[in-house]
Amino acid sequence: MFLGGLKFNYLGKMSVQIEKIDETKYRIPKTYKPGMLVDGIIYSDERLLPDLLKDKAVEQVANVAFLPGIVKHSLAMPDIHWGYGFPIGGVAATNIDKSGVISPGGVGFDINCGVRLLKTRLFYDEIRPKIDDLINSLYNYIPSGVGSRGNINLKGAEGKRILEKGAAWAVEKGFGTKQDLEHTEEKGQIKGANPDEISPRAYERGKTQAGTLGSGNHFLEIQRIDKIFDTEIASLLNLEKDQIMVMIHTGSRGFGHQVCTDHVKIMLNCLCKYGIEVPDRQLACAPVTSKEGKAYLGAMNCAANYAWANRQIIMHKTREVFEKVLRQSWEQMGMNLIYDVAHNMAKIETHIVDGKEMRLCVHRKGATRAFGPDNPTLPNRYKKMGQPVIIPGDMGRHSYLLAGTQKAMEETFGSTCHGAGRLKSRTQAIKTLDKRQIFNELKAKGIVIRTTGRDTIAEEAPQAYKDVNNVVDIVDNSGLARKICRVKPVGVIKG
Amino acid sequence: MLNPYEFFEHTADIGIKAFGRDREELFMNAAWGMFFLIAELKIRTQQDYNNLTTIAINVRANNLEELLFSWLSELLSLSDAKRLMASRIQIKEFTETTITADVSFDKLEPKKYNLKTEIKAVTCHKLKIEAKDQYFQAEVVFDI
Repeated sequence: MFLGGLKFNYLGKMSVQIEKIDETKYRIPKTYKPGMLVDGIIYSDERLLPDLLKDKAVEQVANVAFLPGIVKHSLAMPDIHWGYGFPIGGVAATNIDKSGVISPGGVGFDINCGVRLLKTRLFYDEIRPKIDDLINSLYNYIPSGVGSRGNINLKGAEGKRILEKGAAWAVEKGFGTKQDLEHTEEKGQIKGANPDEISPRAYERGKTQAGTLGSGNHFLEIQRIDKIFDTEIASLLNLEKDQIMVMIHTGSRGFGHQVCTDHVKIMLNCLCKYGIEVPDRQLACAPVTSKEGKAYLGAMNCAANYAWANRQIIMHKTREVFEKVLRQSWEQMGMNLIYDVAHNMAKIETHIVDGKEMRLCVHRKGATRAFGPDNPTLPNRYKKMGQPVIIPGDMGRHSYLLAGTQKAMEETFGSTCHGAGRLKSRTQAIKTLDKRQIFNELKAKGIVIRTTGRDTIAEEAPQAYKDVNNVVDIVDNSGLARKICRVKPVGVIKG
Repeated sequence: MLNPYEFFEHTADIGIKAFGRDREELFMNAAWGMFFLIAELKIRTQQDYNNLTTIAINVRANNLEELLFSWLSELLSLSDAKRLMASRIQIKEFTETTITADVSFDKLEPKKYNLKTEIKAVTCHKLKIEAKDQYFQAEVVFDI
């Protein structure tokens, strides 16, 4: 169906042709740019589309369609915005057995940046007078901010073991329990990590940064459940309105950034070596089965494991702070992990494409895996409902817990959005927003905030983001995930 | 007079446009722009100045643009790994594909510097170097 054949001009230079497929889906036909191997498909709606067309994100969806071996479509989730190489919110799968490529730019520098959601048996009214204490103690106990350093010992062989064992390493060191691993994507320990592919500089950067939150959009939030959408699943998970949750958003820190930088350099040479033409150097790539492809995958998996260990340590430290402030054990407070999901990863997965099983390298750059019910990789507890999907919003509005669907398996290789998506650039936010006013607005909403960076409060202001409610409505309406409940922040730590 | 660098908008990240009368100056100004994003000096004593650590940097790449990517990546990575802030840059050798420099670093400590932005990485996205009539210009996007 071709509705209107809209031609949008942006930045006054280029124009891109977008066809509306239905209320939540738009197509960039592969005829748009010579070299595109497949169509681009963007999940959006009429409300969000105008903002999307303001920057270069749509062009990036078209660029990703050049990747050798790409199957079905170059996909973009509704939180899509301008990134580097891939758009943020981009999903692309390549056929490994047909020389499909892997691209570090399709993962990003913050390898396995992701989110975990921890529930409690506490209710908002019980902890309301203690929120200040909790946030101050968490802020003092968990290092955050620019270049934050931790006190986790990664000397000698430990530096390698964390890369091979991920969150399981953290559990061995006393940060959490085996049950936590069951509720983590890949059990927090992806196979195929190869520490031999890690440079000395990456080791050096990783040595002091485990158990640290970092800065930018990374956060730790205490939240209350504000609305239940699916009562059946909510009751299966023992979730009720006003229950307290904790959400943690961070990744692989300087370690992952270095792994990506090292391998982008290697892959730049692969473009010529394998005769690959891409319109943006940040899309540098190599066949998954090539020497360079395997090296990157082995290194990327190390960084993914480092990130899972990082979130595991931070989560367990959060439990310790709750114990100290509320004088109960974390087990008594029911501080159990609901799930941990990666949203910057490339993974080897098997999917059905055109009726055939295919081994694919699925890149999710600012996109969350959202496997549907009965998927064998899910823990028994979640087999019936589908994979829990955690979508953080901004620090003044909401975040969501959703469940993966069969439709996502069919349309997006089991993927959905990863957040609200930025609307204003950081410099624009700092220039146009008043920090004191944002602080007061949050306070009036009952949100306690601590930040390390001088300008973080403006950079991360709710006004700098799209409304996550609109973004999640699109994934729910298009069937890429279904809403379980919505949470609202009551205490926020930003780096 | 030519500005050493300026910043440009990018939705999720930040870009710098650096300028230089020659390519060496261009590479130096791009580095200063990057360090300006990371932190700003609050106070420094003569003693701090005497205690700078000098590190020899040697970077190679396939072409000038990739050389800029590698140069900035190396400086950023050193700064994050060792908590350092560049204080003096001396380029000793410069060709289209190699750069050798002595960079003197100061300790990046919160008492001396206002820490501003954690740059995750230098990207190759839209990275370009142009020769204008009187000067050179480079554009680089950083992941933050």
